[in-house]
Amino acid sequence: MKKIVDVSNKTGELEIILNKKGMELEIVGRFQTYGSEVKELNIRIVHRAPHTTANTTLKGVAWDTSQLKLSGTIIIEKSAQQTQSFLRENILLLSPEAKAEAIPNLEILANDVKCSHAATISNISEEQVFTFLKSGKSIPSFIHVWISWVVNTAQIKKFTSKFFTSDDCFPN
Amino acid sequence: MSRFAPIQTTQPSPTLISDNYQHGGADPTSGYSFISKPGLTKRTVEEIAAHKSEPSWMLKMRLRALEIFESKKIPQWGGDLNTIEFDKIHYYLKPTDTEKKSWDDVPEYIKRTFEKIGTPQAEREMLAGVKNQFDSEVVQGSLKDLWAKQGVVFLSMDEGLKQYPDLVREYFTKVISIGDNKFAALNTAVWSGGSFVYVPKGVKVTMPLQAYFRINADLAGKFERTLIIADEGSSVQYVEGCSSPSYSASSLHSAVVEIFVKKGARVQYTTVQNWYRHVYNLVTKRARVEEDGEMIWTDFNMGSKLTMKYPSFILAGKGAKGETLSMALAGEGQHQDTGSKAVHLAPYTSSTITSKSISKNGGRTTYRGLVSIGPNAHGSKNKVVCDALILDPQSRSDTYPTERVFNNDVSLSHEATVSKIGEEQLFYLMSRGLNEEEASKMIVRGFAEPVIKKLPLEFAVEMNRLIDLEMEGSVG
Repeated sequence: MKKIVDVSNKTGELEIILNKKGMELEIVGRFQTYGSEVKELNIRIVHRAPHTTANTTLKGVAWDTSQLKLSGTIIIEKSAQQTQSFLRENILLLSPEAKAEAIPNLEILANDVKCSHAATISNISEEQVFTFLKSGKSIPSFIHVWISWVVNTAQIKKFTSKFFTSDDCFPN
Repeated sequence: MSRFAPIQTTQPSPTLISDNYQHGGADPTSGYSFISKPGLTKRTVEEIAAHKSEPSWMLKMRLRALEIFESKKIPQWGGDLNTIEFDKIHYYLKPTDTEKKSWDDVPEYIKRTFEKIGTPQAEREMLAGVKNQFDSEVVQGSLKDLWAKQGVVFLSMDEGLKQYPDLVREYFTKVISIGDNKFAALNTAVWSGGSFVYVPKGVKVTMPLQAYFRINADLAGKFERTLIIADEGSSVQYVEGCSSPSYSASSLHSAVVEIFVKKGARVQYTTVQNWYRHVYNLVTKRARVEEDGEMIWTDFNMGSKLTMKYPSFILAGKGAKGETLSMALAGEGQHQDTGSKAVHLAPYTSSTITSKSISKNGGRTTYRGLVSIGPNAHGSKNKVVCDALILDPQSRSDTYPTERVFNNDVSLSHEATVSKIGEEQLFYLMSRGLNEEEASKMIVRGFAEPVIKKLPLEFAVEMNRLIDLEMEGSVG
């Protein structure tokens, strides 16, 4: 049975251990930082038992002069063969002074595994804005749609209530 | 599966595994003109400087670096460095008195070693120039007239310091400072040999320059120092190879490579590192790239006990480009801690890092990288791809990328995968009549191909051969 773990807006150190054979986890987190806030999360996903699966998705949006640091480590111990683990970090920087740090680490001691991670840090590109405006929408509504598209991936939507409102997009 | 192809069940013979290091032979050191006593003191440094009759600023710099080396702690991250016995290492070994122009003047035993490795033949056929270093000193070197006439300078670092003291002083330690890290400080204190390359404005050197570094003595320390300056609009490719005899005690290799890529210039630096499995390989390599310049590191690591090497580029001018292609192979008892650093300081700079690693027989590969995009580097792009193959249950692979962005007008992406050789892939190839070993080799070659195809043809052929050799008997 697949379990969902929500780590949205958590900070500090976090360790998630998969120690039962066949355990499946969906780990999701959404993060927003405003003003001069610095938010840092260190998440460790430890596979200790064989046949375990974890799918981790961390998505963040940084505003103003804030800083978002997402560090995730997948650790696959020797005993955890036939394991699959994926880690994904996407961060949007929505002001010129916003800063971000993404550290997706892998430590793999078993060989029969499938493991991958991916990270992106970016702004909304001009082409994307242009395409959207062509269809007659305003910039604020575009930003709102864009953020919810980036942040609300299908699996996150399933279980968390509406996270971003348009007020969130324009805090001041 | 046996209906389609024979399943290979034989274990490789132990000799096949242990004998596959082909550069293992050693020569006696009795003919050397000077060997420093083991251990590192102020006296050792002064002795080296006296042998080289260097300008006084260099000796001052060496002594300052020695102080920094002694005051810095051994790094506790990465591989295990606590086992290096600094007191047992010979820091300076001088095989001959002067550098020779022709192979005929080189002592017979040194010539024989290089003949075995194959450098004299390569020099005749395909290289613009060579430097062959035996322990601490360059023993032979040449540069084809065609390039010398156009003002290209390719000297050993010692010779470079003698002939172009002002140029060396202007650039020496300017991109890797004396105290950058403990091993850069050690290198600055006891450096000897290495290459000095200057390519004048607009000159494009179409054939590669090659340096070959050979450790010969037991418990030797090798500290070559390389400085490459590519002036505006020029281009050059530099290739280095390394090997050492199969001693049981550990040697230390700690080089520093500084590269200056001026406006619109292009430098490609290729390393094929194949030290014996008891050598610590702790190298600092960095390039400063100006406007529209391009720096390419191609880095192959398959030897040594522990390699910690992160070739980096500082993209300091608008539109500068950097690329790293890195390939690591870790076998029994080996740890390849490699990666790359990209520092973007100027707008519209771009960089790509591609890393492929294979671990087998209990080997460990690590990708460790840093991408930092500064506040002024708007419009910059970066892409990091690392793939790892783990061939058996005893091996290990790690990925530690760090990405820092201080600017919102950038695009940065990173991806990494770790896996074993896919059973479906093996099954497919075996159903076509290949045995398991051939099929594995083919998959590994395909895995490494994107990196290898960026090499000049001769080196690509050699690399494929080396990978095959390393893979020999690894299936079972």
